[in-house]
Amino acid sequence: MIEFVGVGKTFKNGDTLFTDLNFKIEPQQFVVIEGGSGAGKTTLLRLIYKDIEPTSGKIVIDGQDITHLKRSHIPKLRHKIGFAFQDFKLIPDRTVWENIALALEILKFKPALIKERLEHLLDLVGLANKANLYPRQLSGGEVQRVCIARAIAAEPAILLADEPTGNLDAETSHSIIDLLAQINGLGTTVVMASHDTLAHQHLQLAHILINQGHVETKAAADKPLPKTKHHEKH
Amino acid sequence: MRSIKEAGKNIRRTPYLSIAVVLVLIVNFFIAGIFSLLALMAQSTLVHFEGKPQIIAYLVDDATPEKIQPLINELRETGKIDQVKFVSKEDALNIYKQSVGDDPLLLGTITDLGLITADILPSSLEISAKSPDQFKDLVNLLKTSPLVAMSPNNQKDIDFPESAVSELTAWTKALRTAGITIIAVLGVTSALVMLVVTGMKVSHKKTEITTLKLLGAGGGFIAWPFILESTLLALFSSFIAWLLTYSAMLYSSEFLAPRLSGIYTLPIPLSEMLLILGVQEAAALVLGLISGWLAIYRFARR
Repeated sequence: MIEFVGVGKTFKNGDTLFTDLNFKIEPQQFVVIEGGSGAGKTTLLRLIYKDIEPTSGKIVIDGQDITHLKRSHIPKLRHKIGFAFQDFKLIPDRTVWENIALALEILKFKPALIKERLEHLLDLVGLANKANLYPRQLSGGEVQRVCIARAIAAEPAILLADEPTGNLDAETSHSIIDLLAQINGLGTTVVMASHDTLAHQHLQLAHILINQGHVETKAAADKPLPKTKHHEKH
Repeated sequence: MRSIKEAGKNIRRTPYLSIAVVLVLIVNFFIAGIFSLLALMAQSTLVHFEGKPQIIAYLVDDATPEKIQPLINELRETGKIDQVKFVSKEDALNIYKQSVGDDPLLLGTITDLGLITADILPSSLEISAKSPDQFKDLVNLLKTSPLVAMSPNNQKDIDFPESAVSELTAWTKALRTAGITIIAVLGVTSALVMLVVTGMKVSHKKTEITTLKLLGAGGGFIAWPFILESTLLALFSSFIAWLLTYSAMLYSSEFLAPRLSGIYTLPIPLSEMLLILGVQEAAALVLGLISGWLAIYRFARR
């Protein structure tokens, strides 16, 4: 599903994050990217999302080499990938409903289908009664849930979540991780960047550990995800 | 449909910017509309005067249609005349009768006193030139003909309002040139105002646009609401400006109509005003589309 082959990334200021990243994430896996602050977790997600270009190597998404993807083809790639951003990127003057609906409007969904899909999504993320509120009226955990709902609205094959538990209390963090596990259980490949190991340690997820530009896989990232309590329910 | 809704929302959410654009555009379209009307009226006035006989050459008493024919042929061969008409002495008398109308005193000079007869009136040639520029050549040609009578001051008896028509032509040309220049300057000003204001609106929504891009929105999804917004504002402004122009024209008709009687019919018919509206709306459409597109294109390139 996601493959990095000898990927290097050096920024314009000369800072080099990776020189030779190699790993593979299989479909329907739930993988955590771990690493200290500044290790390059967000950069890795942005590379997958084609928000930035690798300096060297090759990135393959769903069988497609995206390394030299034309700018005009980037939107199509992004339709396959949902992104729950670290800074949420919710539009402040739009309600919860409008923010989530935006992802579907981009894909030209019909209004009736958007309504149906949104009702389901809001139920899934537990915000059915907050559809008409604005982001500023929500708590941190609720904002994160809206962000996740928007990311999965179009049923992408891949969900990228950048520090989804950052700045959240332990209980809320657990609920967010459980939500991501639930989404993964529905067949979505989930890649989560996180430095908060406590929040997901109960799930025994596959790990990609970035340390000083090198990758170390833990819990065998290329093997099927170990079943979690939540998955057993499905 | 979504783009139109978004455009409407953008207009409502930045009311002062929208009002500022609309006001500037209304003034520009109004001035452009007034100049268009003036140019149209000046052109009609010119056509009216150009359509009148412009050169009248009075002929000697023994000039007959047969004798005058070679001169007519010579004039036609120049290719500079539009029409030429021989007015006999009898025709001249009829014209005089028509011109005195019901005035009993003047009519009496013909009917009772017999003072005015066909004999004392000269026959003439009435010539319409294709262009006032050709007056001189035609008059010079007429001066060489012995059939053209001499006036008491020993000059060939030829009337031609050279200066009046030439001046009118010059004024029409000047008005047209000034109109085109002013409309062009106002057009550029309007485009720049729209470009700057739409650019500000785009800049204001920078974060939203970045988010939309990250969510996989294509260029059209992002750009169309802004392009439509500027287009809607331009179309609305143009329409209001047209209403003002129309009102100004109706208001001034009472004053102008008697002065332009027989030359130009006032108020201008609605069909002609609708034509002006169509041209203005087309210009507004182009203006809105181009400035909206340029504003978002400048941002998208970053």
